[in-house]
Amino acid sequence: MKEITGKIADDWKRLTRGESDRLSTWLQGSGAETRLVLCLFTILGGVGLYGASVGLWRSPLMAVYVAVKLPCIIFLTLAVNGMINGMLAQLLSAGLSFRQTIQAILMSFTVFALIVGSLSPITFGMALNLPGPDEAGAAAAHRQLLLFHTALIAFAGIIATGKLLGILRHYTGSRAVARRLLIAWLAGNLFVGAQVGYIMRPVFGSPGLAIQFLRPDAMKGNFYETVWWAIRETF
Amino acid sequence: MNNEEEPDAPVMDNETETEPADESTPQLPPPLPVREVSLANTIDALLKRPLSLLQQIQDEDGARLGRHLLLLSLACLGIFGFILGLSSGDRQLWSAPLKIITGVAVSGLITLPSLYIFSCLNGLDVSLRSVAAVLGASLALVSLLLIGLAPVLWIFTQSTDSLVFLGILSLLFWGGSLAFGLSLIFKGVSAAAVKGGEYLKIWAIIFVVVTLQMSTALRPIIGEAETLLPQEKKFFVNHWLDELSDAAEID
Repeated sequence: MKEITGKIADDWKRLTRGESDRLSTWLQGSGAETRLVLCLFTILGGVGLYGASVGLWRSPLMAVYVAVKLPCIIFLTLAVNGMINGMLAQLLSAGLSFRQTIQAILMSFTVFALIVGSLSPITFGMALNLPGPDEAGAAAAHRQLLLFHTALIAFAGIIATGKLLGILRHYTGSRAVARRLLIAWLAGNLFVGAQVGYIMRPVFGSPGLAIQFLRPDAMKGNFYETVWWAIRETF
Repeated sequence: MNNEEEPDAPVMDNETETEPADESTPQLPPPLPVREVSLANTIDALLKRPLSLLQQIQDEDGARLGRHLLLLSLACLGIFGFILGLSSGDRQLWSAPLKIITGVAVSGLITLPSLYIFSCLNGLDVSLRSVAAVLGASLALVSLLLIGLAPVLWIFTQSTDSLVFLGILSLLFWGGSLAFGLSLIFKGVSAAAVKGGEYLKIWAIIFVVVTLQMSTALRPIIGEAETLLPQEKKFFVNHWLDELSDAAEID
């Protein structure tokens, strides 16, 4: 058992340190060498734990919902974009197969999961110490949480993306190819991820709205129309 | 590290190839490994080694490869059209795929002669067959990319009623895929050691305009109408402006 936990800790260290040469061998390997299971469980655990801390401010039930939904958003986005991401990797001469494409992106999300997971004790503390949704100051607390989590997700996302760029540079042997591929993947994943997140709402759980796993109108409307509507209403 | 370099096989043969190689002429790559012509290999080659695929079309297995490309294009465009048709249902489930396949096929056929002439204007020594092969492979690549984007399209067809949004999204997908498809034609020109390609850039603009007009001529591809084909002739820009203005009025 101690040996296994030691190996897991070593692998996490390699991911967070961005040891591109070692991580590239994971991409080239097969079976257990790919660390696919480790990546999947780390994302489930890290992002799930963080999701629970996001939802906890609203209610314990919401914590469970968000703990399930956040990893789902990541996996659904990868599933929807899997085919086009793989095609882009081949078209841009990155030398990555479809499996390796998914693996590379999963490795990046694993770094993301480790960052947000490691910060979740703090976010749990915040959820428990801010005024609750039924107390005075709930609206202000909700706004603060929203801003804090947005900043935290952006911070973890930027670092994880940087690590992915390092892996791609090492694997492809070309900075230009790695950069082009990363931009293409990011554009696609952000575009679809925003919509998947919109479908899977509520995530932050506005005070006053019912606690639900999915809104009854989950598949009505889309993220971009909502943003467009908000811009028009504002100006 | 594991970057598969594509052998730069010349596709559109240029006159200079028959002359002794000098510094300005690229060195020919070593012979390509013989691969069994199957649909899976065709898809693989289209994504990883499009230039060698183009050369293969000119060889003995060309006809079989051509059939695979045709089959691939029909299947991919059909599925993409079906998913687009899901936004409206009913008649659009079969008419949208049919219209997309027809639109792409007609666009390819009516621009093939100009592609041949413009290739010659660019100094390429090509046959109509080889130009058709390049165009066919290019359209197959576009179709393949569209099928890669189909899951994304499906998510939005299920969650929005806005035809304008779906129209813009489809155009973005078409434009992005077409950029890769057209780049294949330009790679073919580069492989033939021809500098520039100005005439082909003009042809590319013509092709894009033709496909956009085709989408208007075959409307509705998204949404519903009383008739299968439009009763009124319109330029695609006017059609888009009309649709945007209608959507703004509804809002």
